[in-house]
Amino acid sequence: MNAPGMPRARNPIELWAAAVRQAGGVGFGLKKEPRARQLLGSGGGKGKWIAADCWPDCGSKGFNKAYVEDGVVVRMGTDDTIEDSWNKPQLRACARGQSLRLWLLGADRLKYPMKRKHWEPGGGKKELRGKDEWVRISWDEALDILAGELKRIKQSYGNEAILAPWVGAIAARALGAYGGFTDQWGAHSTGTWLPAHLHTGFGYPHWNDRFDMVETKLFLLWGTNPVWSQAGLPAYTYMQAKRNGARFIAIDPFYNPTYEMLTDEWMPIRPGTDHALILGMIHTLLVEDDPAANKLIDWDFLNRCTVGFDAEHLPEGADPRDNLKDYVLGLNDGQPRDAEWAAQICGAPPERIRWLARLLAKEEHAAICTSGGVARIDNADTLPQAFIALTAMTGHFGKPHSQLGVHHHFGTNGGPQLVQGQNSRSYANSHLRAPPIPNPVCDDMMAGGFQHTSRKGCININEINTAVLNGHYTGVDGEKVPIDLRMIYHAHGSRVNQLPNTVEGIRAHRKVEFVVTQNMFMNADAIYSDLVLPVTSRWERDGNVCIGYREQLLWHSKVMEPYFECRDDLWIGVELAKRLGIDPAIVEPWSWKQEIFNQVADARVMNEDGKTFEPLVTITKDDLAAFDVEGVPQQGRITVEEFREKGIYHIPREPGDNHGFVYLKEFREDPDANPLATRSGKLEIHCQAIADLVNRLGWSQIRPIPAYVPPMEGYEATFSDWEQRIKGDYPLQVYNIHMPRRAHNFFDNATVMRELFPHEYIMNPIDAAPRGIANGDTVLIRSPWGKVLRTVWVTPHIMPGVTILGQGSRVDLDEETGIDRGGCANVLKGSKPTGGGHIGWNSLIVEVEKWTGAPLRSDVETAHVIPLKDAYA
Amino acid sequence: MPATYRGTPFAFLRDATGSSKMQWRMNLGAHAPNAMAGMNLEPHRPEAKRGRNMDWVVQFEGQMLVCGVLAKALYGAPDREWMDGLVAAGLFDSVPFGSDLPEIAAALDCLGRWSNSVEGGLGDEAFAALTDDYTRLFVGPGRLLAAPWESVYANKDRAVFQKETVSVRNWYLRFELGLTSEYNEPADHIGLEFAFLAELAQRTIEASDIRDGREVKRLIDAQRAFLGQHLLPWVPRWAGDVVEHARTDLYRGLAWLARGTVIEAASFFSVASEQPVRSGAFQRTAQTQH
Amino acid sequence: MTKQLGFYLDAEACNGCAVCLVACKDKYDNPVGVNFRKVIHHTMGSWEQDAASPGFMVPQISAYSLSIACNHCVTPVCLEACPVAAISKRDDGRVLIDPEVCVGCRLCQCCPYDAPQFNEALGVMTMCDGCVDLEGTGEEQACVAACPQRALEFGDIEELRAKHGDAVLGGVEPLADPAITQPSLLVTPHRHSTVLTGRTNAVE
Repeated sequence: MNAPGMPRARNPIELWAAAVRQAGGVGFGLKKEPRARQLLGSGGGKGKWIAADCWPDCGSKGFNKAYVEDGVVVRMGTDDTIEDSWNKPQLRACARGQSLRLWLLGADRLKYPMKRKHWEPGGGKKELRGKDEWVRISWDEALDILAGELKRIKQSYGNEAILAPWVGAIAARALGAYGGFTDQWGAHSTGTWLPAHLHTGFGYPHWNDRFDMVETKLFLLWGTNPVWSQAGLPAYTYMQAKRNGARFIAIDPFYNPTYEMLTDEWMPIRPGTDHALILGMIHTLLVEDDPAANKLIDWDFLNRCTVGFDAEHLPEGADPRDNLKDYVLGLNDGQPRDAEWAAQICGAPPERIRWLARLLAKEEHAAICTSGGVARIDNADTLPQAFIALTAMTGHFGKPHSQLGVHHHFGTNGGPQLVQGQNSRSYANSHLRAPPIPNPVCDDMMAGGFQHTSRKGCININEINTAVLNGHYTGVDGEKVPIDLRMIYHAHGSRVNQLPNTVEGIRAHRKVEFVVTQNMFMNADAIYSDLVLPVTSRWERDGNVCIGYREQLLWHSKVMEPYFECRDDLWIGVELAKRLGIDPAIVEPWSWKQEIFNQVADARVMNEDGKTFEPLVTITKDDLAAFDVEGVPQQGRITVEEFREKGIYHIPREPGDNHGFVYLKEFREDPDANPLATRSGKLEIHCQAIADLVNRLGWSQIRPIPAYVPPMEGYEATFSDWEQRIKGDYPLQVYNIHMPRRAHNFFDNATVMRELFPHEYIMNPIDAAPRGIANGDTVLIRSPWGKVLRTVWVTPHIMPGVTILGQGSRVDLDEETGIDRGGCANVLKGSKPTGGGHIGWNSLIVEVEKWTGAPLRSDVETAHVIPLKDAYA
Repeated sequence: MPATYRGTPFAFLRDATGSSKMQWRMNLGAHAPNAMAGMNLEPHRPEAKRGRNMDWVVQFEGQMLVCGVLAKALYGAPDREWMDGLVAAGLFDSVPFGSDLPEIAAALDCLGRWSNSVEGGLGDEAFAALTDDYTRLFVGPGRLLAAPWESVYANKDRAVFQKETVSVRNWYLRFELGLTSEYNEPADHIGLEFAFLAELAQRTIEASDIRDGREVKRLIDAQRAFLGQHLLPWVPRWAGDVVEHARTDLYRGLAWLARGTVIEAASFFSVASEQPVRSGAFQRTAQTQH
Repeated sequence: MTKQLGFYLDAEACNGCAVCLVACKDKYDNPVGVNFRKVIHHTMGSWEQDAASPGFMVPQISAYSLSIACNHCVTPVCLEACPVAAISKRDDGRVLIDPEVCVGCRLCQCCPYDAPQFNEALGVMTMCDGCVDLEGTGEEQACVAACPQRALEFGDIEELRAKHGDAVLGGVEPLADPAITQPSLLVTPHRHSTVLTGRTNAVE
């Protein structure tokens, strides 16, 4: 529109030409580039396969490769580097691995450093965290803000004010060198197993070798689902056992796909009642055992190799009452822990409990294969001792084709690592040859470690958010330790979403002065941050090395250039160091490329003799030049180029080779000559160390023997009156399992995965019908801590009284109603710690009702939408 | 004009344009096999005149300039100084391309309103509104409301760096063009695709000025193919998303302008769409009428 | 016809993990809503009172998964239904849709196995082609190579039948009666499958 008085005599062509001139020319964003190279991949096979890392924290491993045409990933593939056989199986990927391309190249991945619009030093409008607008900033500005805040907060409040919970080895180097930070401790995944592995003599790892395992005749698959959780090789191993004639019994609230494949014999029990079931079985064996006529109990092993089973075999100084036999028979308190007692709690009929006990005791070659999940229960501190007692008394330790196996992270394949290299599949431990950087705030700890036991200067994972909100946390001796946390630094993981009580977590994140997240995606941590730094994935770095299971070592290469402006965690650490006055060489002693090459050079493979190792790769001077790294030539089994090109090395195996392994075999034969690393040198059914650890913390008081403690939010808590069996406000249990769509938060936003595996709440028709709920309805799930909406799958696959809500889905909180639309299970879970400070994910109680509001949109339509008002129009 | 039009480009063409758009269409060759079978496939040019053929020049000049402005306006964050200049000069009073299209009218409507609102200079608040809009629509973080890359619209998985990206980069390479960006970004950004179309238009003028017939044909074929493979299939949908979600008239106007530009250019080159209509009821590749 | 190619599925080993589906989808770049291979999860049964222990509920349920794509049937109904003859049966038994001829009318969705999938962006029907592009390369079909249970094979049906004596031709619940289209699909039934024989509706 012509303004009055301003002559606008020029014609449009001239005007637009002037505008274009001022822009610098017609082709803004393009520049002349001489045609120095061929046109890019045309799909006519001009690309190549590159070994591509899959690192999300599922605990298992598949081999993936990406077909890349000039920087563009076109297709995924899996292991075909060897002829496939049971002796030497290909390490095939799972559905998640196959979706890596679509996940990592999603349009919604973080691309640029971003700052929250209404933040300023001190916090600005903190209440807008999670709802604010964002401003794109440069890396320089972003790093200046981060360094500035670190300095200011350190100077004003001290290093303890910086909370960087499990921030990852790389970020921790800079922070450790800058004076340290408050870290977290506590078991996420392992429940109460880890203290047991440390103190009872039942170590980690502890499976028998797979060739031994497939000759097992009876498997008790106990609360485990490798088909979804550790997809790939574990299920294949069980199939071999089945083809060998093995019988499987499933003990679980859920008849899952692993069981569908293997067995019809399903004994449903409620979450958190495994301990009661075990006691009922032990009682049965005690009363029915007759060493002459009906031998059910392996007294020989119990007497020689364990402590705590009966009063005659207790450790020095123990209270004579603290023996398992007296407790189970009811001599301590008049209540026998018999099958009838157990049935009332676990839900399996008493006769079935007795039947199961006899079956396990009578089978020579039997294995109990269980998971971390059974121990991710409030107050389950002595559950591992109960499993140990059951296995010991039925004679299944230290013998071929028998075992107690926990966590399928080992692919049902135990024994010393035959190909040794970087042991962690998911956490990138950095600069392995360099001395670790201590964290001065936390006592006696390597920076960035994953700590399971209490430490000074560390907060238990259940208390992370309450420490921020209330200004104190529980110290190593159960004392209240004051703390003033002013900053939260997230990297490497996901806390807001993955710690219990998400709503509490959001409040905590709105309290501190500064929140920064370093991640690939706009996860819940990033949403509630002030500063967001986009990082590269493992595909965009100079490779990675890790083990597969016992027999494979993987070397992944760089697949693509960094996505948009993403930078490496290591680069961020170095830039931060420069701004903080720390020598960058402390953070990055050498380049990542050099580090990976070091790890390859250091990799060892066991020889056929089963005893000695040799280097895996041969390295020549030419190799060092070609890779442009430092090193020393060495002789190994394969060339370094062959390893790089294939991306995976498999050690050759066959049944009867020298790599077999039976856990505790030498111990069983001669426990005195081969003592375990426990106070008594024996397997500790009576474990004072665990009792001390727990009782010292003060959240619970336990006995040193596996006496049953009802979980804080377990089956018993669904009743307002247990004696009369009157149900309370939250009558249903929630089983919070791993789902195939994702590994924690990872993969969850890939549309292909959301299309395949909707995130549904699972109910039995016996619970759904009285509530007027039909398959496909939207339901509101309420716990004492929060509310969640989900679509429901009504099916007999789950036990009545129990429901399933899988873990890992990202929270999408509607703050007006307080309802989460994302299906985040932690919205429902409380954060009160019990026992040894593990997280009891599977002890969770709720009530459910049919939702009368608008039904939820499908998961495909809601792939990662940030909670702006418009997004839910 | 519906605010949230999401139809296919060709359904729209048939509905809204009838045959009025065919004035500028040049019967330039070989994409209508039935009609053209056995015929001379050399481009049919208007009578060669001494000096420049002004109709020809005006068409390509218009394409060059409008695409050039779109490139600058859409690729990269808002440039305050540049925008101040546009407003002061009254750039959005008229458009030298596709001026009889309803999209262009809608564009002028929005852009004119915006220009008026910032008459006298682009103030802090007005500029902040632009930056905010740009960020929400195109940058993130989180779900981009109108992700400005072709591959996101080309597949429901909303991925970048896909086959479309490779194809677009190849187009640039054929004409010895690369990206100025230092970072690893996809070549199929809408701004870059317009920049490419502007470049080709400029070279068409240069080639015809020196009477290089072969080069002219190569450039014409390239523009037709690029429009059909890479702009027409997605820009109208992208524009619809911007019109729906933008908070400023500037970005709305730019979206209408982008859509109108693509439709005008496609019609001029008689683009036969490689992407058929969606409805699937006894229809396939739609061809524009000759 | 010189031979009849088809799939073999070991439904005892299949656990419904769906890698096969994702591998195929990834190879063909299929969008949301287009899946050449599908995983069918079939559940039967319910809970009841335990006769021996009143007050306790016990389950009587069974369940299994099947992974199927196009069965390259001997008498494909899709081919018969197509009004423009876009579907043909090759010498090797594969049933293929020609995207150049297909008009997207969707009549071939009469397929009892839901094999033809409409691709909105392309406007035509698309379907598993037994990875015909890999013929002669020595590479296995994407789904076959990906399966971590090694439950899938692809090849000459007669050879597969000789190799897998316990396999039946196609008719396992909940799949359709194989008499309708004569699918070139061999299945080693899961222990809970009811099996329809090919010629009659007799149940085994």
